[in-house]
Amino acid sequence: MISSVVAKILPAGATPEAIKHFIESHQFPIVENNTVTFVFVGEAQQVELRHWIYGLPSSIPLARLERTNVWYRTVEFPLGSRIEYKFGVTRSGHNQWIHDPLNPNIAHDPFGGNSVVHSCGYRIPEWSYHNEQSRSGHLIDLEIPSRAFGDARKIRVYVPAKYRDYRRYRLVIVHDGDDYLRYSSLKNVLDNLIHRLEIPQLIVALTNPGNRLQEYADDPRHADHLVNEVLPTLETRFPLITDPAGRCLAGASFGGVASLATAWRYPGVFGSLLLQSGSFAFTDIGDHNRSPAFDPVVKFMNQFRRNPGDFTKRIFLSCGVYESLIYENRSMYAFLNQLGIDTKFSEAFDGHNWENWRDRLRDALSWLYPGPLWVTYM
Amino acid sequence: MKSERRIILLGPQPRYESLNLAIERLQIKGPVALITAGWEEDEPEDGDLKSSLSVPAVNLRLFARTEQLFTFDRELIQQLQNRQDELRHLRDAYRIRLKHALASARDMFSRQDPLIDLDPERESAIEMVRILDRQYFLRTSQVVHDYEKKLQIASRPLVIKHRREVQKLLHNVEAILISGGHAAIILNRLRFFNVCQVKRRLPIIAWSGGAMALAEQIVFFHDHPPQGSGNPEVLRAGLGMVDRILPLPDARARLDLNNPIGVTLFARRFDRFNCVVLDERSILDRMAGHWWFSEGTEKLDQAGRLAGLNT
Repeated sequence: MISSVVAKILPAGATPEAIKHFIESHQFPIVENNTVTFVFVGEAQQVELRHWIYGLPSSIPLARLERTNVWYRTVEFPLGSRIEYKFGVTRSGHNQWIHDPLNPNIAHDPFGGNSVVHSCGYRIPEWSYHNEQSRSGHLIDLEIPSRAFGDARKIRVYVPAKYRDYRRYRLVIVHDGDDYLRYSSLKNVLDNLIHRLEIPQLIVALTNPGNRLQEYADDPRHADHLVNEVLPTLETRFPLITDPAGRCLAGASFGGVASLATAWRYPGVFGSLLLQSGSFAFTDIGDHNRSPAFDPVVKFMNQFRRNPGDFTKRIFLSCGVYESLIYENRSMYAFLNQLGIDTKFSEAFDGHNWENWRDRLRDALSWLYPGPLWVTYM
Repeated sequence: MKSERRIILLGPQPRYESLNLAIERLQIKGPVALITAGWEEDEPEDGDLKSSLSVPAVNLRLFARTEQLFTFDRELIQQLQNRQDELRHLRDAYRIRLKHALASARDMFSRQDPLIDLDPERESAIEMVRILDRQYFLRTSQVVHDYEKKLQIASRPLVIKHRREVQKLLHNVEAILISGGHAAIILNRLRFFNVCQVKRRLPIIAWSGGAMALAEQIVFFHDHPPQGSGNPEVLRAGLGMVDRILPLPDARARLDLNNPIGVTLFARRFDRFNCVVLDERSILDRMAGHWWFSEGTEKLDQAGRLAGLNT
């Protein structure tokens, strides 16, 4: 084990006053260069670090400082890492996963969120925060009757602050749109990048699934819905560039699969794709070892890899190094390059989460749709 | 000086404060002509600007006029698209060469050698970049010139009509105000309607992209664009109405001014000019052949820092 800052500062059998002083005089976890020291204070039979970093044991036990209720563990991480975690605390034989009580920083997600720590070199991008200088776009609610699904689907449409109906706009259709808004600060990102002229003014359609795992796993109804129901509705309602070069499909995780599958089922409709941590599981031989939800994904990916066709022109691909999907995404990058698709791939020391996807948005959107920054001097 | 015309250059105008100070310096009561073509489709949205001005203003609507021209004169738009294609190909070749030349210059400026003086190597490396800039400048100027000759813009009926209308509007104004925006579009629209040649003595106030369009050369710059190398690059010749000044609007935000090597390289590469940082409060006023600068106006210095413009 790496020698810990805790053991250096606190002696075994430290008094409650010494522990209190230690807690009050530090921020937790303790970040030093390429190490992070996790600390838990409290009575327990066992405390473990639970994280989602592929490659490390999923549970890392914390050591107890002798004759105290202080638990600690120092772990080495590459500089620039962003780590989401919980503590698994066992009391009276019962194990419970909790946020780190000493760390106020929480990364929110649809499952309630995790504690988050940044190693040296990571900063939350300033363009993800609300900025008074950036004019705020508007969100318009639409309900689209769906023949494909036999129901009606609610979507939100982001229109830029300086929207004019005599202009022509590029379109991005985003899967899990509300989650992108809530957990990836998508509206702030769009407002800021448009204000900074790093991307052009865009119309962004924020869609949401019904049964996500089913609909996003190459469900033909979903592709039909997007291409034959959502897109025509948007083109009627907004002044969009009606050319594949002006249409992008975006999604993360299973949303990445849904984007790829839709573009593949309707080749030439979408000129570009933004695929974040796509769940692109495939097999060259035999069965896959992921959950049954991946069955239709693997079937689709194997078909796609056998017969990709000419389905789009540009793809921005990103994935966290701490995800098990990094191998599939690296493979995907090589595969797309072989197809001659203009592809950009971005990796980060992060996991399968919404803030990782937020942090890549500037690079992705400004590459897919470059703004007029270089030529404009207001 | 190429012209004795009164010209005032400003930086970005989020609140139009130095714009009104500049109007005061001209001691005019208006009206003034407004050019907001750099805002492209937003050209007509000049309400905030007009209401902030201390004098009445009439917008020449140069962007809308060209849009109308392009709708009716298909041959013209086709030829201009061909011109853009040629310029784009030239730019791509220039960028490839520039990337290597600038990398070499940066390397020379970053390197220290305990045995020999590297200054001659540094000068030679930067001269290679200047040669490249000059070649590109001449090539693009030639393309623009050839197309202007081929297109006979001045004798096209719709152009004649619009130029007459613009002249008529300019007849009743006391100054021309040129906003910032897309620098190449501003330059093209000013050339198209011959605005700056129509009434030679009319004073001009131009800010940001508008100021760039009046210079001898237009240079695009941004040290940290989200995409691309961020290498400063020559666009092409500007209108050449102000010499020895290379306007750098919003340079404090766009350039890393704490990087002495970057600042030195920029200043030495464009050493024919004063590379002037134009911020919200900057005023450069050329009157009677002399420049007056507002206090605190600075330029990029060859020593790698900012220096007062009069030093």
